[in-house]
Parts: sequence; C-alpha cells; structure tokens
Amino acid sequence: MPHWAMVIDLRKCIGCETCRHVCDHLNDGGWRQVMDMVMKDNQKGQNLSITMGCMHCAVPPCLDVCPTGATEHRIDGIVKIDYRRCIGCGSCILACPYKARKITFDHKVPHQKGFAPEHHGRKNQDRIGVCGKCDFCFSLLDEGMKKGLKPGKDFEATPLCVRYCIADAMYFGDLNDTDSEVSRLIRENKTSCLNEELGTEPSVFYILE
Amino acid sequence: MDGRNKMGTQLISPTKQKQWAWPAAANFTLGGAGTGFYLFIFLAGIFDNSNFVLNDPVPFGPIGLVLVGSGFLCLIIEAGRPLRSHYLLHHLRKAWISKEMLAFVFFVTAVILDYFYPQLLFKACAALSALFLMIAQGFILYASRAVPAWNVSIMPFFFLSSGFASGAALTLLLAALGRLVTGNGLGLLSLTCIFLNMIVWLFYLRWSNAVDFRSATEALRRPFMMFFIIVFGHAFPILMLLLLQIRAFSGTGAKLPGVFAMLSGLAIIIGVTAQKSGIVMSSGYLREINIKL
Repeated sequence: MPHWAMVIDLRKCIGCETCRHVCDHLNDGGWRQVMDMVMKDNQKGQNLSITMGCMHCAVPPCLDVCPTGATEHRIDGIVKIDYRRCIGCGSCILACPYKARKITFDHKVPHQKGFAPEHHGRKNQDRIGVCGKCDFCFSLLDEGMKKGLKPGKDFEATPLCVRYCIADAMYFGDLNDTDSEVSRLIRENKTSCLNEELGTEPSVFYILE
Repeated sequence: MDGRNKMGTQLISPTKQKQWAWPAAANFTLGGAGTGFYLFIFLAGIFDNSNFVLNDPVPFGPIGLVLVGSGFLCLIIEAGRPLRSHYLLHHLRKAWISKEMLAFVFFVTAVILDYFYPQLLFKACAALSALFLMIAQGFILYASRAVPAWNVSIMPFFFLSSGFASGAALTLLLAALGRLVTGNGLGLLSLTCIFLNMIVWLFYLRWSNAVDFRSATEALRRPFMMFFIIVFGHAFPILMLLLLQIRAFSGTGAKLPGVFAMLSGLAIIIGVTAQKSGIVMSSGYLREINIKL
C-alpha cells in the first residue's frame, strides 16, 4: 500500500504562488497558503517562500475530534473530508496545528469548468458551510491509478499544485516506494517538517538547504 | 521573522481563533450551569438532608434542561450545517462532541422521565449524564491541540469545578428568592464549590510556563480580569458565605438571608461566565507554526 507524501524543495521555490492560485481556482477553496520570509537568523540572509496546506499527518489531531466521522484517514495516508457528513462545527480547525482547514461560507467562489478535469470538480454547494482542506487531489490519484498511471510521475495522476509548479519545487510520490522521487529526495537531503515537536508525523517534507 | 525558539524558527505567529466565539462560550457557560445546577441540587439533597430531591419544590430538572438546551441552541448559530446534527453521534468512540451529545440525549430522557414519573433512579441517571456532559465539555477544549490555552490537562477539572460553582450560584439565587428550603449544608457546600473553583482557576493560570500558553492566557492574568474573576466572582461570595456560616453556627440565624445569598449567587455567575468566555474568546490563540532549520 502506498503512503503518499510531498516534498517541497524551498531552494527552488520562487514564491510565485502558482500552487496557491491553482488550488484556489480548481478546488474552490484556497487550501494552500504561501509565506514569504527572510531568514534573519541564517547568516546568508536567505529569502524563503514556504507553501503550506494540509500536512496529511500520520497521527492527525483533526481525526479524533470530528464528531460526525466526516474526517477520514485513508490507508494510503491521505486525510480527507466527506463533505456530505461535515456539519461545520469547526472542532477540526481548532485541533489542526497547521491552520490547514477552514469553513467556506462564500457562495461566489467560481468553479472553473473546463479548466479542471471534470472528474475532479465538485459542485460548489457541497462545500458551503462545511470544512475544507487540501486532500492531495485524491480523486485525481484514484482515477489515475485506475488507468495504471503513477501519481507523482504521470501528470494526470498528480496533485494540481505539484503539477503546475513552475519552479519544479514540489514533488509527490509514494514514501513506501524506495525508488520514488520523494523517497530519493528525503534520503539524499536534510528535510524538515512543520511543528515536529507535536509528534503528528506530517507527510509533507521541506528541503531547506 | 521573529527568530528561533527552542522548537524551531517561527513561520507564522500565533493568531486568534475565529471559529468559536460567543455561541461556544454560551454553550459552555449554560451547559456548565445547567448540569452543575442539577448535580448541585442532587448532591445538596443528599448532604443537606432537606428532602428536596424527592419532593421537588422547584422543577430543577426542567430548569437544568432548559439551560443546557439553550447552550446547544446557541451552537446552531455557529455550525455551518446545523441540520446535519444527526451525524453528531457517529464518532462516539473518540470525539468528545459526540460524547457530549450522547450525554445530553441521556440527560433529556432521564429528566423528562423523572418529571412525569418521579423516581430516584431517573434522578440518579440524569445526575450521571449531567456529570459526564460537564466533563465532556472540558475534554472538547482539551482536545483542541492547535490552541495552547485549551490543550491543557487541567481543563476538564476546571469545567467540573466551574460547573459546580455555577450550580451553587443558581441554587443560592433560588434560595434567595424563597423557592428552596435549605439548611446550613447548602451554604457550606456552595462555599466549598466556589473555593475549589477559585483554586482550580489559579492553578490553570499558572499551569504551564510554555511561552505559547503564557502569552495566550495573558489577557486572563491582567489586573482587571483578575479582580473581576477572583475578587468579585469568587472572593466576594466566599466572604459572604463565610459570614453566613458564622451566623448560622453562632445561632443568630439558621437560614440563608436573601440579599446575601442573591448577591453571592449573582457574583459567582458573573465570575464563571467571565472565566469561560475569557478562555474561549480572549485566550483562544492558535499555536505558532515553526520549522527546524
């Protein structure tokens, strides 16, 4: 069974926020945020842009607090929300230490038909008043795998933010596959996760230097 | 960037949560008051030996029920899709909101049964579910890992002590209005509950030396809040009740004088409301996001 993960090479990221815009337009949510920062405590005075979304933790704090069971932890490591069950109580938002979730009340979010693959699009109405977050575009992954495609390697079966990253700074793949790009990057580079001290074991890794 | 701390380099500083506002605070306050009131009367009936548990001079079950129910109604304003509330019981094994909901269902059932067929068994069931509901509310906040001021193990104890304190306050108000016939035990029990709640609150404010907890709860430690919650909401009613106890033991008067009891009750209610709304609205900061370099 795969364990899907993402590696973000911050040395390559140029802070263009394409990942955020792609997510905004195709997922109706804006589940990605990009933080620009200057590493003052780094002697090089390095500029960094850090793109963040759901960390798809192995021990997700949002899972246990969900009273309706709308938050699910798939066997492949993806944490997803069943929008038909969510009541928008917000308890998961207060449990997530990565500020990765939010409730959308805006009915005007455009759904870009024709731009997104039809199978990935969902009706806006399902998303109103419920909690939303990055789901690693699992529907793309599932559909792609049915066709025999390899997520992370094949364009069609890869999360949209990774697919459209113009700096080639985002990688996606199977952590359990030692030959995958993400496994290789983690093996060959020093990687960090956000809020590591909380023990949530995120599936998103950052390469800083 | 704010620089490094022991956990790593801060990327995003703590921000105030906007998800739960006054409706959540109202739910916790009313839920604590309703369950605390029921439990307090139930226990006072045992310790005070005044028989009002079985004789029911005031419909304390329905009063508790209305208070707790009003708290739940407030949540309808806050939830995005309240009409799907039937799903709330679907994660009973782990989610404290589900457990709270189940306790509420049991509480409602037991109180209604007791109202029409008064029996000690139904009262005991209602008391047990009230106790569970009260603790569950504390665990709901404790489970919020993103909020350092809530994610502390003293939180369920605080909900327990504050629930009993507000229950004592409502009982004192009813006693002051002449709706409850009570003896000395009520004053002593109220005094104990309020004193314990004050101690638990002081422990809470000093629970952790972690920077995120200290900065999140800073508003609660400001002189005005300390005066409002500790002095007005607790020390003042404690003093009142102590005077009443001295009066009672010296034989000057056996019953609670109305004005004293009413002022004490009001002060405690205001104090507990300030505590819970302070926790939810003033100290609800989401923790920082950091990375190890």
